[in-house]
Order: sequence, then C-alpha cells, then structure tokens
Amino acid sequence: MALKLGDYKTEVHNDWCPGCVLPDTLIHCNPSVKQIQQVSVGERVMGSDGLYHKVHEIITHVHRGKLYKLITKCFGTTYLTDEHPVLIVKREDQKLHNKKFDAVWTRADQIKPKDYVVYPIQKEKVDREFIEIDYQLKKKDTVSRPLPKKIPLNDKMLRMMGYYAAEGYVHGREINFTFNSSEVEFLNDVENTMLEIFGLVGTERTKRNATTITFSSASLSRVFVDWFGHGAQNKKFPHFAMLLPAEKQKEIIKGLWRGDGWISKGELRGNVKTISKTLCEQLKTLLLRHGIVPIITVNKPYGIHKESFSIQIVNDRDFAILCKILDEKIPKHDHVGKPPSSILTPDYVLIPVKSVEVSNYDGPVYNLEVEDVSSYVSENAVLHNCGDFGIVNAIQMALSEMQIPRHKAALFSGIGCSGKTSHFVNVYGIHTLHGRVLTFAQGAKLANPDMTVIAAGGDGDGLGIGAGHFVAAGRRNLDLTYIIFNNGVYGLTKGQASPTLKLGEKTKSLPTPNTNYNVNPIGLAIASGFTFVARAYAYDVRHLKDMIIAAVRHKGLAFLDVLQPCPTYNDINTRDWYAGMDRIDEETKKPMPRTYKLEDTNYDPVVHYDEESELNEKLTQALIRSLEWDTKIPIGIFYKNEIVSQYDGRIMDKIPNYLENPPASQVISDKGKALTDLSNILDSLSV
Amino acid sequence: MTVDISWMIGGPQGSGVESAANIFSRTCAAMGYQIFGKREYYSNIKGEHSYFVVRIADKTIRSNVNDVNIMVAFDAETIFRHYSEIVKGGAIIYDSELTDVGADDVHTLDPPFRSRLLEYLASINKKPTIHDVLDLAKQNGVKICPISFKDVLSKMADETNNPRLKGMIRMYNVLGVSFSLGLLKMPPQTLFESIEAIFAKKQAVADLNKKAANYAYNYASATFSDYNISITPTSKKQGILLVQGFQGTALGKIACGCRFQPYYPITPASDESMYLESNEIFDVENNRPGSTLVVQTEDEISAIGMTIGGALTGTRTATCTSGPGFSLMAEAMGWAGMNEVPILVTLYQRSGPSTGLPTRHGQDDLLFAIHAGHGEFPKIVYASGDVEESFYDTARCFNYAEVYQMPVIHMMDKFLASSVITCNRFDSSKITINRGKLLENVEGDYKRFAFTNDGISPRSKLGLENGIFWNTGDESDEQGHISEDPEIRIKMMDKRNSKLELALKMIPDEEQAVSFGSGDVCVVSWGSPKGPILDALEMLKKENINVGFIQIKMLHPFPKDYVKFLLKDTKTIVDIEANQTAQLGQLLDQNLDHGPDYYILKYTGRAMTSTEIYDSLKKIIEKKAQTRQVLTHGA
Repeated sequence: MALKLGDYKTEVHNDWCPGCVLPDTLIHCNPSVKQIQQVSVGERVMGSDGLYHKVHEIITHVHRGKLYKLITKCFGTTYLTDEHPVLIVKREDQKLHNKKFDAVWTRADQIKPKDYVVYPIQKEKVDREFIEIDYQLKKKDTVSRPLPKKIPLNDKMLRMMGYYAAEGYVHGREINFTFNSSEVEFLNDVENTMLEIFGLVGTERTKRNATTITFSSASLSRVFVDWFGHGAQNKKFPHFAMLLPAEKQKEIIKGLWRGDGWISKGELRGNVKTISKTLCEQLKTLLLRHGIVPIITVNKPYGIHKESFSIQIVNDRDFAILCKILDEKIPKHDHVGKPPSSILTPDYVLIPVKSVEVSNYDGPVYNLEVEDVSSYVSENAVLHNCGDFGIVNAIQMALSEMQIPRHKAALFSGIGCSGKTSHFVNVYGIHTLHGRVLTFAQGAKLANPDMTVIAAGGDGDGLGIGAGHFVAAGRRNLDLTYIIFNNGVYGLTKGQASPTLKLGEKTKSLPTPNTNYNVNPIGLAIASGFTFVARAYAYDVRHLKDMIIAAVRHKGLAFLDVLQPCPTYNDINTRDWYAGMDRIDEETKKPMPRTYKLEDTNYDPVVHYDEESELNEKLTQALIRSLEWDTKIPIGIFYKNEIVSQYDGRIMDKIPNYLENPPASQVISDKGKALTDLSNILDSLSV
Repeated sequence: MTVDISWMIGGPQGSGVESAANIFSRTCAAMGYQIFGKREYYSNIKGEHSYFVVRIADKTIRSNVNDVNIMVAFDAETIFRHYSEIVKGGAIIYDSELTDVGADDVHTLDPPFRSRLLEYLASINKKPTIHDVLDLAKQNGVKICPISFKDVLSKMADETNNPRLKGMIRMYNVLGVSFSLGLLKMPPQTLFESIEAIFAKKQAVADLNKKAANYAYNYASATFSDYNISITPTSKKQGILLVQGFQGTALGKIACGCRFQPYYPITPASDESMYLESNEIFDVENNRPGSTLVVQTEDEISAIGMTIGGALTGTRTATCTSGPGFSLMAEAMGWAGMNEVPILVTLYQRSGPSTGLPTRHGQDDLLFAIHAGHGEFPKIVYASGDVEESFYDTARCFNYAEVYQMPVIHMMDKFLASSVITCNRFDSSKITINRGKLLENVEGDYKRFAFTNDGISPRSKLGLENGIFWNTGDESDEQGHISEDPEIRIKMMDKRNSKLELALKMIPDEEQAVSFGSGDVCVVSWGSPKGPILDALEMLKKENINVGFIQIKMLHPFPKDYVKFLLKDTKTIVDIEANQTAQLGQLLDQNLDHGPDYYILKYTGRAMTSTEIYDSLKKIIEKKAQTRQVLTHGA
C-alpha cells in the first residue's frame, strides 16, 4: 500500500514550526470552498492577488500550544498558530480610519484589534457564452429527453441557477423548485427557462402555501447535482459561474436573493440565509465583486434547524448597490444607516479586526504551499504559505515521494534548532550529540547498509564543532545524505555567530561584528570529497524537496546546504533579503530575488567520465560558483560524481560479501551458542 | 631440575628487539616451556631504548621477576641500563665492538639516568664505559660473552659464499636469539622450525635466517662451551597458544559476535583493532563467511559515535581505546547510557594524566571510567586480570551490555596488551551469547523505553518493521520523544539507574569477584596485578605463609555485599594497584566498613614484578611495612 505524506509525520509538537491553521479552516478553492484538510496537491486556491494558484504541498503537524482566534468585523473567525503570517494593514489611529494602507505580513500574535485584514476581491474571470455539458444517457433510461450539448449562459439561465441554489433540489430523477405560492413571477421564470433551454415541461403541485414545480430528467438531475452539490448543506455554484464577469453574475445574485433572501426597504437591510457554508462564501465573493461587503453571521442550530449562515447587508452604501442588482427601486429615505466598517479598494477590501483571542490547543494543524503568491484565502483573511519549517516538510515529502518504507529510513540530527527534526519525522529518529551527527549516521549505515540514512544538522553543528567529521566523511564517501540548515547563527544559545556568518557582519544578537572569516560550505564539501554537493533555499520547499530526493538517490555521500533565514536572530540574511525586497527592478517594479537556480542555466554539474581534465573542470566550476553570493546566489546541484568509488565498494575489496552479509545481518549465535569458528586463527597461534 | 629463566633483549627501537623476542618465545614455547614476556619501549618511532624480557619456566608463571639471567644487548644503552639486573651465574651477550663506548657517547641516555649512573660509577671509582660496567657484572659472577656481530656476519658470508649477508644488520635479531640458544645449549631444531613458522610466507627469507641461525648457534655453543646453564626440552602440553595480550580481547570479540569496530589509533589499544582487521574474515558455523568491519575513524569522538550508530542496528559493536581517547568519548558515553544502547569500550589503560607516559603501563583510569560522562546514567565497568580471562570476559561484557542495555567499559591495560604469554587454547564453546531483550520482530504499538517491571524495555533495532523508535540525548518519554515533564523525568531516571541494582543481583557472584583463598592478610586488587600477585603468593606459600587474594572484576556497580562476604575473616587488607592514588582503595573505603590497611602501589609506568610484590608483602607480614609502599623496579 502506498505511503502517504501523513505517514511520515509523528505526533510530536513542532515547536519551531510557525504558521498553521485548524483542519476545518475554509479555503477558497477552485472549485468551491473547502476545509483545508480536504485540499489536495494540484488543486487551485485563491491567492492574495485574487487569482487562483496551484497548491504544491499540504503541510500538517501537531501543534501543542497557543492558538489565536482572529475575529473580523465582517467575515467571521479563523484560528491561527501564533506565528502564522496574515496580510494586515496596521491601524494608525484607534478612532479614525487610516489614510495610508500598507499591507504587511504580520504574525497572528502581533495582530491588534482595529488593524485591517486585507481581503482580496476575486480577479479571476472567464467569460463564456455557453457551457458544454458532457453526459451520457444511462442504458436503461428510455424516458429522459436528450439534453442540448451547449447550454447558453444568458440572463435567464443564470437567474435560474440562482433560484436553484436557493430553492431547488434533486430527488431521484426529478429537479424541483419550491417557492411560496404567491411568488408566481419566479415560478413562471423557472418554468419558461427550463422549457426554453432544456425543453423540459414542469408540473406544479401546491401544498399549503408552497408550490413545487418539478422537471423530470435523469440526465439533467445528474448535471445539477454535479453543478450545485447534493443536499442543502452542500449547495454551491459551479465554478464556471463564479468566474463569469461580474455584470453577468448579477442575475445569479438576483435569483438567489429572490429565492432565499429578503430586503427591507424600511430598514435598508438585506439578508440571505443558507445552511451551506460554501454557498455563503460564494455569495460573499459575488457581492464583493460588486462592491458590497456583507456581514456574515453564524446562526447556531436549534431544534430541528441546522447551523445556518446569514449574509447581511446592513449599510446604505451596500444596500443601494444591492437594490440595483435586484432591480429594486432605492427608497427615498431620511434614514442614516450605519457607515460601512470596511474600506473598499479596487483589489481589496480592508476589514477591521474585531478581536484576537488566545486559547490552548493540542492537535493537528495545516498549511499549504502555494505557487507564485505563497498565500491563500480563508473565509476571513489572506494567509501566508508555509516556509520556516520547510525543511522538515521537505524531508517528509521527499520520503513520501520516494516511497521509502518507514522502517528502512533513519533520520539522524545534531543539536541546534535543527536537532528536533528527527522527532517530527515518522521514521527511525536519532537525535544525537552536538557536532557528532555524521559519526552516528555513518556507524549505522556501515553496520546496516540497507538503511536509507539522512543526517541533518545546523551550520554550527556541522561546520563548527563537527567540521572534522564533515571533512572525514567526505573522504569516506558513504552512501548517505547530509543536510545542513544554514542560518548563520547559533539560534538555541541566542544568536552567536556561526561558522557561515560573514566576517564583519553584525546580526542583531551580536554585541560586536563577527571577527571570523566565514567557511564556504559548498567549497569545503567539494574539497573534502563529497560526491554530490547542492544547495537549496528553505522557502522554496518544492525545489528543496527535489534536492533532497536527488541527494538521497545519489550513489555516494551527498551534501545539501539549505539556506534558512533565522527570523529570530539573523536580521541580515532574512527572507526579504533572499527575496530581493531591497532590489526593485526599475522596469518591472518587482523585487529581484537573490537566488537563482543552476538548472535554469546551462551549468552541468555531472562528472561524466573518468578523466582528470573532466574532473578538474567540474570541480573548478563548482568552486567558482560556490564563491557567488550577495546578488547572485546559486541554488541547485553544484557537483555530482558517481565515478569515484563508494565506501562500501572499498570495503568489498577486503570483505567481498559485505553487502550481502553486512554486520547487522550476520547470525552470531544459536540458542546462546557462539557460532563463530576460531580454529583457523587459533591454529596460527598454537605452539 | 626446575627451569625458571629470564631472558632479556635490548636495543634501539626498530633494531629487531621485538622480532627477536618473538622468535625466542616461540622456540621456548615449542619446547614445552611456559612463557611470560613483556615489552618496554619509549614513545618514539625509532632509536630510543626498547627491551623485552621473556621469562621461561616449566611451571605456571604469570609475571616477570626482578632478576634477569641472560641478556642480549644490541647496543651500549642496554648494557648501561640493565647490567646490574643480571644475576650471578647469568650471562651478557653483547656486541664486542661496544666495549669502548662511554656513557657520554650514548645520546639517548636521558639526563636524569645519566647523572645517576655517573654519580654511582664515580662513587666506586669506575669509569662510565661499557668495559667498566661489564667488569662490575663480571665481579657479580656474570659471564660476559662478547661477540662481534659484524665479524660473525662477515665470516658467515664468506663461508656460505653469500656476500649479501655482510652488511645485513637486519639479521642481528636472529643472531641474538641463536647466540642465546647456543649458549644455553638448547637443541637448534625447534629454533629452525620457529623461524620457518614465522617466515612461512617468505621461503627465501626463512632459508637465509635459518642459515644464519645455524651458524650463530654453532659459533656460540663452541665459543662458550664452558657455560654451565643448559636447557633441554620439556614435556609439551597440547593445546597451548602463544598469544600477545591484545589478542585475547580481539579473539573474544570475534568469538562472541562483535561484527563492527570503529577505532582511532592510540597506543597501546590500536594493536587490538589492527589484529581484528587482519583477521576480518572467518568461518561461521552453518553460515556464510563472517566478517568484522573495522573502520579507522578521524578521532575517538567519531569512533564512539559510529560504535553507537552500529549498535543501534542490532550489531554487536565495540571500540577500543586508551585514556586520552576515552576522555574524548565521555560525552557520548552519557548518550549511550541515556538511550540504553549496548556498546562495549575496551579500555587499554596507560599512564596518564594527559599524554603521560604514552607507551607505559598504568591503572590510572578506574575512577574516571566509573564516572566518565556528565550526569547520572548506568554503565558497567569490568576488569580482566590476565590475557586468558580477557577472552572470556569480552564475551561476558557484551552479554552485560545487551542484557542490561547500557555501555560496558572493559578495563585492560598496557601491561596486559604488550605481554606475550603461553596459555590454554581459547574455547569458544565455553562462551554463551545472551542478547537480552533484543527483538527480531515487533507487533503492535512499540515503545522503545516502555516501563517494565525490571526496568529493561524490549529493544528494537534500525531496519525492523514496526520497530521504529526515537532516541535523544534530551530526557525523553517511553517513545523516545523529548520530555521535560517532572514525573516522566523521575520515572526514567529511576528506570535507567535501577538496572545497576538488577545487574548486581543477576550477574553471578563469581563473575563479579574471584577469591583465591583468604586469610588474616588478604590482598585486594583488580586487573593486571593479578599475575604478579599470584606468583608472589606462591613464593610466600613456599615459606608456609598464606596470604589471601580477592580479584575484583566488577568495579561498577560495586559488588559491595559479596566483597564484604569474601573479606569477612580478613584482618589486614592490602590494596595493590598500578596508580598513585589507590583508586580501588578509595572504592573499598566507600563500600566496606573497613578499608585497606596497606597499599602497594606502582606508578613508574613499568609493570609490577612478582619479586617486588613478594618483598612488599613480606614486609607487611613482618610488620615492617609503611602503610604505603611504592614500587620502583624497571628501567
């Protein structure tokens, strides 16, 4: 049975892993709105730019500690771990609205009431005249009329979709709409539309004050279930409808409001109530595109009533727009409604934070890796990607992708911020001594060469106290992978300079600038004999994962230098620094990242044949690349040589059956009896 | 007639002293004699004084004595340093070209020794020359046998028509041995066989050496035909081995299934690892050929790290080191203790502190071994008293490590490592292998540090399906994940340390301490003094003086109750050990109601002789002794 990513995770609370949300947090996806725990890789979610982007990875771990409940004025609640970054505009004055609105990623524990949550308005738009439906009549179905292949997305059709979302349901092969018997106009509207578009004739039936109009078509029933979901709680709009131009979507809103909503011209209020959370979020999206910022409230279940959601329009500004959409006259009034609490910009709505509450939590949390924008939209905020704990996840993803059986992998870690890594991964996890991780790892690999061995440690661990082992391991070239989390500081002891910090640099934790020259990890690895030398960047988790896989698959000793901003102590090589936020391209006005991928150039790291000139060329070019820094930091594979003999091969020159009968597999006793036969050796000592 | 002869050969390091001693020992052993040999050398590669004393006897011997009967000197330094040790009736074979050499010509004589020598010779009106010191020996009744090594080679070259022989100073070792055998009129046939065996792989070299041996033997037996000590072959026991000290633990490791040994070179421990490596492939019953993977690491920290890594895979893994290396291993010992990893560290002690006397003997590290590593964690410290024991003890140590899941330190020392002895053939069938709670398969939820009644949790290993576990140097919960919970802390500390009580209870008394009879006066010791003590007690017994001896093998946890029991009738306890601060004595003070009354200590870096111990014990019995006697014999 294939192993899933979750199989490689332990239940250990990852205390240096910031930024996650609860499993049931709703995420705006394409299609529909989903709990984050149901999102899968490859799906698209809405990003901070209002467009949909691909999910690379889903990250989950156990969080044991504080949880921040972020409540906004309009959209409800999201639970976040303390370090999770949210896109926020800091409030300048408690009483007045800001004049400037600069959005910054802000940790959950630093968000204050009245700060503005920046919420994107959906930008993605696909206009279409028709929607093609793909269905096949069931073999036994001799009754259903054939459906048109192309359905026009005209006003009638869209309004009908609104009606259905509000009042429709499928029962067996029947599509039903139920209205109040007095709503003759809507009944006729539906009846005409269904006849015109699908050629279906409805039958009406009235019970008390309710009239149900029924259309019989097994095929269309299936299409409707597909489009609108099954059951009232799962009601939704199909995604193509959500992508139509705002102007067309007015009809959808109209249909929905006619079915499920009401407006009060006296109070200048409007309201739609639904028990589908997805529908609620979709309606919110539709309204936002028209400049309406609804207020969403949750109605607790009572009696036979399920939990429901109210989408309310409560201020004059929004009510006026709604009336236009619904073709209602805006009443003349001297009523002065509430001023809107939110601020609209063309791309965003800024919603004040109502409160932030703290509670304790012990359970799973989730995060996503999203392409391009590194963010995704929940019901009430834009949340940032994963990243800080990318390495652990990248290791898990790599193991999962390679489908390495859990008991065949061992993760060794050193002491430092990286030390706990081995506890988060559900394979053999050996958290060793400061600087000694390679020695333990090599011992295990030598005794049991069948294991996939990964060693991970910090830069202080591996290049300071453990530098001797680093060099010696290179000379051996055992088939294992060594990952250094390189952040330039000693995080656990409050930020002293590590061996990779540049001479003269002064991070915020250092009292005086660093007095030591920095070691070049890539150069040292190459000089020591590592046969695979690569670098990755912690925030590019997918590339990091790919590098880990390449390192593990390499036959020989692989070294992976992972550049990892330390948000706490290293204020020089920060995430923004790597992203080039201080280097704005004059033409594109975009930051120019400092890292570049070697594989995007014509660089070839592989030693192809066993000749000195080839070897020297590949070593030299790798060394030269290793000297690049500052505005041009290479990541990717610097050097790869599978021509050099591996250590196990060298052992086999002496012990030919080493790999088939390694130390860990040898049978040494039988029921307590020693099986080794010493007679040859003892004979040689006999006199 | 009883034979008990000490033969010494000395010369600059690299001059063939060791190989000469090897040929001599083998030849004598093949004649049926018991051998006890010991090498002394300076910490250098070539040039400084080294010597080898081989004692041969037709009874059980376990040590050297002070007296030397025959000395072969390749150089002047050997004569200056050792002339006074040759007893009446003994002989000195030396290169006659050395006769005129003065003490000032020997630059390797260190200043303190030189000035002591000059002072002494001046006080008796002798000149500091070879001529004069040999005169002194002669006056003591020692036969002086000058031979020009060069002339002998040259004559031999002429007679055998082999001019290559002329300058072959590499042949001096064979000459030295052959002169000795000629002098003692031992039949040369065994000598030839020994040469044949030693150079088995190089027939030409063997032939050349045999020719030289034959010539030298005849030369000496003709020239010194008047010498009145002769040795004839004696009845030979079957199944006798001639082994060097380090081979005991090495063979023990192979026999009991140690299949991985990472090590870092250090005197005197690395001989063991190199011997393991040169015998890395061997036969295993009903199985494929077995092998021991020996890996030379970059330092001792790496050696212990790899040892732990190896042990985590369920492989019996050991390392071997000496004091300075063991100091580097201390941190990892704690990790192994914390994570209940069964590892074996064979600790060949030498004289410290720091680099100390790197090629010399000492038992300085007992208390350090017991306390190695910060924090409180369980370990077993176990000491062997001789080479034969060390073979079987190695297997015991591995059983302790695996049964009680903790590091075991097997205490050996330089004296044991560099002795050459005859002993009974090691018998693997006497070894039992107990792997404790090592799992071969796992079902259900596995917790590496599960709390159990006896404090020992079932042990999984890397690569075992369903047996995944976590280890950490931090305090941890039953699964092995970090925990700082106060209640878990107490339970885990108690679990781990309770295993020491259990070990004391479960390990048979006779494995913990060995009694060689007790009496009013009883010697208590540990490790290598065992041999000289037993020889000394035999000497006393001949005078009808009975002295008891308790050899303590389990030093930690200390078998307090059993030792108390063994000493219950003893009035006078004598602590004998090769260190300055009487480390076992301190343990006895801590654990017994009544600590040692007398101490016999040696910390010159040279091994104890039975003569010294005999003398010191005699003084104690005659009530003439100081509480503390410090032994000094040996150059």
